Amino acid sequence: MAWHPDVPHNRSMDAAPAPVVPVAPEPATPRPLRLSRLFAVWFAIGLQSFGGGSATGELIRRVAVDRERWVSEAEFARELTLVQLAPGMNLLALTLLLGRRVRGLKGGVTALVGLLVPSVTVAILLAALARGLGDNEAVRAALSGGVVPATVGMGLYGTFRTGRGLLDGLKGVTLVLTLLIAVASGLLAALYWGRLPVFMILFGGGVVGAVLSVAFDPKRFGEAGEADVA
Amino acid sequence: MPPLTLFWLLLKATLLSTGGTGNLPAIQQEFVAARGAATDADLAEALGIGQLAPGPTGLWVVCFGYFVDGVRGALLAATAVSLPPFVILAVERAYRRVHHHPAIEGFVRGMGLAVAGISAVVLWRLMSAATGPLWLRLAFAAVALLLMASRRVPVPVLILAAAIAGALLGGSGPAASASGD
Repeated sequence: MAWHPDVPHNRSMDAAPAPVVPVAPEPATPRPLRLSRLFAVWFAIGLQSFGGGSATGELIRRVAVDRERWVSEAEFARELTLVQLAPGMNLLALTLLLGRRVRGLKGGVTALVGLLVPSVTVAILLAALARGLGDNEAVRAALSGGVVPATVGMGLYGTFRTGRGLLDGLKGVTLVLTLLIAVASGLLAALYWGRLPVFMILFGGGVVGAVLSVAFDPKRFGEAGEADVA
Repeated sequence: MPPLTLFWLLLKATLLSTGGTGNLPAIQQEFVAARGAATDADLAEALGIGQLAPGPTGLWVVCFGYFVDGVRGALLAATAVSLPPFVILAVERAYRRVHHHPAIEGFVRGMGLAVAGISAVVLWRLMSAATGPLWLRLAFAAVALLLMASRRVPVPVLILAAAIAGALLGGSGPAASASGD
């Protein structure tokens, strides 16, 4: 974790709380907030955010940017992009970052737990309800005849949107070759399911993506290179 | 399945993927294909019911944990999916130095596309867990896909509508009527 010495900084690097590299201007310092109040704010989000990830994300944006002013709109957008790089649920990573802004790591964990307690409780209750009523023929039909196929359709749409978002900004040969990562991964999964560990396909996709991205980096080719590719 | 195994498999699947459903392929492979600890129907129902709960979509894993090992499984699942996001704290530190490196961007993009490709296959396989005539199942999936694309119907409304439609129409399917005996 050696900082680049472009910018002068004090010797005790570990103690320096402010980022050394200047980034987007910070909004007004977050209002100090008791941990119990922070917990209550996130508990309310966790309880109200029916409607999946995008609904939850919007609610978080409203609270963090508009109401509590923990972050500016631009900082929120930057953190929303950044959390795509962390494993697992992006919104949980976002919750950690936003909570940490207010009260340090303790605040991050408080926010996370606050969000999860109501959501997880409701999820368990719904799962128990579905299982408890599982012997009922109408409930069986509702789940396996209605919810399951609808979930497949919804999931396929979500997959399409994720893929399209990842291909955003690519053109020509790069676009086709990068798209082939998804096609090849799907084929490998279809042909060798259960024999080929998933993470090997994922890692392979990542490596191919990195190679393609470096090979077709427009900055390296300059304007002439871009014209070539397009 | 021993609780620790359940916890570890969910943690591993989540650590090696991004997003709320990026862990779906690994979970299908470990729990259904390799160990038989759950069925495709469990997986599909957890995905559907998980959408009804508030909070991030990824909490479907909590419902899945419940189906495998009751409340204990659900709590272990909740813990397993809550830990990987902490990696963001390290990512944020490293971010300012490498964020525009094409290799990093490309790796993340490639992995995401691999997840998308595999997920499409896994989701398609889940269709076999549904009951009712094939044409009806395909119609349900297609309608749900189009309604999602219209972005006018909230997800919980869609799930509830599918449940009602399934109860009314899907009951005549072979598996559903067989279970009535």
